[in-house]
Amino acid sequence: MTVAVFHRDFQRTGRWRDLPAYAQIVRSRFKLVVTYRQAAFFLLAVVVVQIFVLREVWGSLYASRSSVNGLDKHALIVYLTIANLQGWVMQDPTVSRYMYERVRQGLVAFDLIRPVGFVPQMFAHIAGSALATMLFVVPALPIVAFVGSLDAPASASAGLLYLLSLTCAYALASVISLVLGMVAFWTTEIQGLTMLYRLVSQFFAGALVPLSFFPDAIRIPAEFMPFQSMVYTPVAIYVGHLREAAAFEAIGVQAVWVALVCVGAWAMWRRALFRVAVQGG
Amino acid sequence: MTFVRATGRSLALTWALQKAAFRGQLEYRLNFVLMVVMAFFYQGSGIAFLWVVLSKFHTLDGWTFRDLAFLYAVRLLAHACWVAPCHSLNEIDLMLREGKFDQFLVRPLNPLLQAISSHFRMYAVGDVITGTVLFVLGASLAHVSFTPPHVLYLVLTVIGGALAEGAFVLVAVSLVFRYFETWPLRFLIDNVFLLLGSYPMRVFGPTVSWIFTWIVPIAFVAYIPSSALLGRAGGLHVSPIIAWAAPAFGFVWFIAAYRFWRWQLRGYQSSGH
Amino acid sequence: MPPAIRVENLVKEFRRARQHSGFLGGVRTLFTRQCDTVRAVDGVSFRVEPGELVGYIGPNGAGKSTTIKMMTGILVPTSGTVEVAGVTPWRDREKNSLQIGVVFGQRSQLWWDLPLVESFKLIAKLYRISEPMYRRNLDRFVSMLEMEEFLERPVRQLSLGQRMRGDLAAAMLYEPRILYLDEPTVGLDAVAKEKMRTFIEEMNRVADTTIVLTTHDLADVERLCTRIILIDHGRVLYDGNVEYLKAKYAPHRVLVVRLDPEAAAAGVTVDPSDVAGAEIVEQADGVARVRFESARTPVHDLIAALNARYAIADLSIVEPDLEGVVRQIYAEPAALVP
Repeated sequence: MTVAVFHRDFQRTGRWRDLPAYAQIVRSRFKLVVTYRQAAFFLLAVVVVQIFVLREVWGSLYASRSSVNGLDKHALIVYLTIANLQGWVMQDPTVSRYMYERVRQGLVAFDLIRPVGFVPQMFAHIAGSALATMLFVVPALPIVAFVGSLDAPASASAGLLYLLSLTCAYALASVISLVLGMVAFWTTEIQGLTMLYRLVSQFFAGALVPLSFFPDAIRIPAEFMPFQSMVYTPVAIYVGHLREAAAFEAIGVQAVWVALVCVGAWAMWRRALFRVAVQGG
Repeated sequence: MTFVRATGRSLALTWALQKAAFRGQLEYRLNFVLMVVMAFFYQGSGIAFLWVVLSKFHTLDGWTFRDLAFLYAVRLLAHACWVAPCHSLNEIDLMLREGKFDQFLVRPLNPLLQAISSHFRMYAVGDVITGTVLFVLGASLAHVSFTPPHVLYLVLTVIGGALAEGAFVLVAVSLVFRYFETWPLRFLIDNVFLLLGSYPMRVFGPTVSWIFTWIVPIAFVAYIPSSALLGRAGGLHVSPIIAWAAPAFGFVWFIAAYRFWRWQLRGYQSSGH
Repeated sequence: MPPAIRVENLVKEFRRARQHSGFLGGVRTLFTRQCDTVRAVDGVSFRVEPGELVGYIGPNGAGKSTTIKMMTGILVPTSGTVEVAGVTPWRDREKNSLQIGVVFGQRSQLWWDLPLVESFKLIAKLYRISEPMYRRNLDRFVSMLEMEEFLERPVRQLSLGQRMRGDLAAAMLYEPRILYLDEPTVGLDAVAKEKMRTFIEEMNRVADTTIVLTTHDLADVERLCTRIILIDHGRVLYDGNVEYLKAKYAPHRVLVVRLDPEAAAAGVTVDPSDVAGAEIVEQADGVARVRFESARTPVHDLIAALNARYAIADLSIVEPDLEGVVRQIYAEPAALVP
C-alpha cells in the first residue's frame, strides 16, 4: 500500500529525476543518525535495563512454576527480549522530531513549495533512518542476548516470514510516527507525546506482558489496536507461536493496519495542508 | 548577611520566580490538559503492569499487590517531589545555547536556583497529581500504621528520595557545560530510577541490589523505606538501622552532586563556550 | 576618585579542540585531542572613570564580547585584573551583579509570557529595590520611554522597539552604577533608535551612570560618546577622544559646491588651480566636491576664493564620519600610530 501511494505521488508530479534527490536525503539522514549514535545507544541502555527488569520480575513471578498459560519461562523471556529489541529498533525519534521542528520553526512552508514532494521526502528520511538502525542492531544483539535470552527462529520458514512481518511492522510504526509528527501542525505543545506513545504502545503490544496474560477487560480492547501488529505478530511468528495459516492471517492483519493508518495519515496530511494554506504555517 | 538569611532570601526569590514561570504557562490551556493527562498515563503505566501481572500471579517475592502499590507510590511521590520544583533543569541545554544562562550569571541569585525557576512545564503538575493519587490509594491499601514517627519517616523518605534522584539528574545536567547534549543520559537516569526503583530490589539478585544501593542509591528511595514501614525490614539486604536512616543517603548524595555542579560551572566560566 | 572600571593586562585564552574532517578524521578525533589555543583578548588595559560614556567598538571576533563577559563576571580571565567599582566581578559575582545593569540587544532579559510590568516587579524583588525607588523610577521611565500603552501586555507580543525599551528600563530600575549596553539599537527603526539614545544620554547625564556601549552602529557612538576604545584581534588599537580620532585619522572634509544653474548649463566647471591646497574629488552637473584638510586650508579662505570666481548657488560641508574612519582603521591597523 505504501509503495502504491509513493508511486501515485510520483506520477502526479511526474518527476522521476527526483530520485537522486531522494538518494541524497537517504544518505544524509543515515549520516545524521550515525552521528547521533550516542543517543541511540543510550536508548539501547534503557531497553537493556527494561529487559533485565522483566527477566528478573518474571523469573520471580514464575518462581518454581515451569509453565503458565502454556508459556514456559524461557520462551517467555525470549519473547520479551525480541519484543523489546524490536521496540528499540523501531523507535527512531529523529524523523518525527524533524517534522515537528520544521513545523514549529515555520520552515515547513519551504518544504511544501520545494519541487521534491514532502511526503516522498519523509519516506526517504525513514529509509535512511532504517538503514542506520540496521547498522546499530549488529553490536546491540550480543548485549541484548546477554541480558535476556535469544534463540534462533523456530524454523527457516519462520525466519523468512518473520522478516516479512517485521517489515510490515516497521512500516506501520513509521507511518504512525509520521502522524505523530503531523500533530505539530495543530499544536506545537506536544512535548513528551512521543514518549507517551512509546509507553502506551509498548504496553498494549504485549512487550511487557504477553497479551494472553491480560485480564479480558484489557485484552479485548488491546486486540483492536494496531500495537499488537507492531510487536506481537512478528515475534510470535519468530518463536513459532503463529505458524503457516495463522501466520499469514496475522500478516494480513498487519497489512490492513498499514493501509488504514496510511489512509488516516493521508487524510491528516490533506487537512494539514489546508490549515497551512489558511493559516500560513 | 548571615548564611541563613541569605539562603532564606534566595529561596523566597526562587519561589517568586517559579510562580512567575507557572503563571506564564497558564494561558496555554489545551497544553495544560494534554500534559497532565500524558504524565498520568506515563507514570501510571507501571502500576498498570503490576495490576495485570499480579491479578494472575498474586505475589511477587512475597509482596502482594497492596504492598507493591505502596512501594510504587512512594517511589513516584519521591520522583514527583523532585520533578515539581526542579524539572526546569531538563531544559539546561536550551538555556546554554540561547545565552539565557549567561544572563543568570549577571543576576544576584544563585544560577542553579535561577535555572530551576526559569521554566515551568505542565507535565510536572501531572506527575504530582498522579503521584498523590497513587499514594493515597497505595497508603489506604497497604498495611502500614501511620503513627507520628512513621509519618515523619515517610516525609523524610520522600524528600531524601527526591534528593537521591535529583543528585544524579544534577550530575547529568552539570555535564552539559562540557558535552552540550546530555538528554539521552538524563532519559536513561529517569528510566533506571523508574524501572529499578519500583520493584522489590531483592528480585534483581544480590549483585545488582548491592550496586543500586551503595553506588546508585535507588534502593534507598522507596524499596528500603517501604520495607521498613511494611514490617519487612528483616528481609532486607541492609541492617534495620541503616533502613531507618535511609533518607540521609539522599541528602549526602545531593551535597556531592551540588559540589560537582559548582566545579563544572567554574570550568564553564574559565573555558568559555 | 577610584575608577569605575579598571582593566589591566587582561588576557583570555580559549582552547578549541581541533576537528578533523572526513570519515577517518572522525575516528582520529576519538583518539587524539589536539587543541588550538585562541587568544581572544590579548593584554587589554583601560580605565573608565565614574560618569563616563564610553564606546567600545571593534569588528566581529575582535574580543569585545569576551571583554564585556569578563567585566560582567560571566567569564574568568586567563590572566590580568579586572575591577568594577572595587569589586572583582568573577569572584564576587553577586556583589557585582547588584551594581551593574546589562542590556543585550540580541536577547531579552524580560519574562516572555508575563506582562511587562510583571517583569519590572520581579526585577525589583531580585535587586532588592525599595518601594519608593521602584515607584519613582517606574513612573519616570514609563513616561520617558512612552511605555504606558504596552505596560500590561505580555512581552512576547511586543515589537522589537517596545521590548528593547522595556529591557533598558529594567536594567536601570535599580539605579546601577555601571551600565553595559551590548548592541542596544540593533534592528530598531530610526524613531526607536532616537528614543533609546535620548534615554541613554539622560541616564548618563542626570544619574551619572557610567556606561559602556558596544555597537556596530557608529551613529550611536557619534551621538553619545566622547570617548572611544577601539579593539581588534584582542588588542586595543585606540583609546581616546572621538573628535581627536576623526581629526587625526580623517582630517579631510568635503566642500560641496553647487554652481548657479545658468553657469552650469553654460558648461562652467571649477578649475583645480582655483582651489590651491585642495583637491577636486568629483565634478558633474554643476556640482563640485572639493576635499580639503581643515588644518592646512581654512575653509573660509576656500569659500572666499571660490565665491570670487564663480557664481555659486549653494555650499555645504560634509564632515568625516566615524564609520569611514573606523573602516579605514580596520583595513590598515598598522597605520594607527598611538
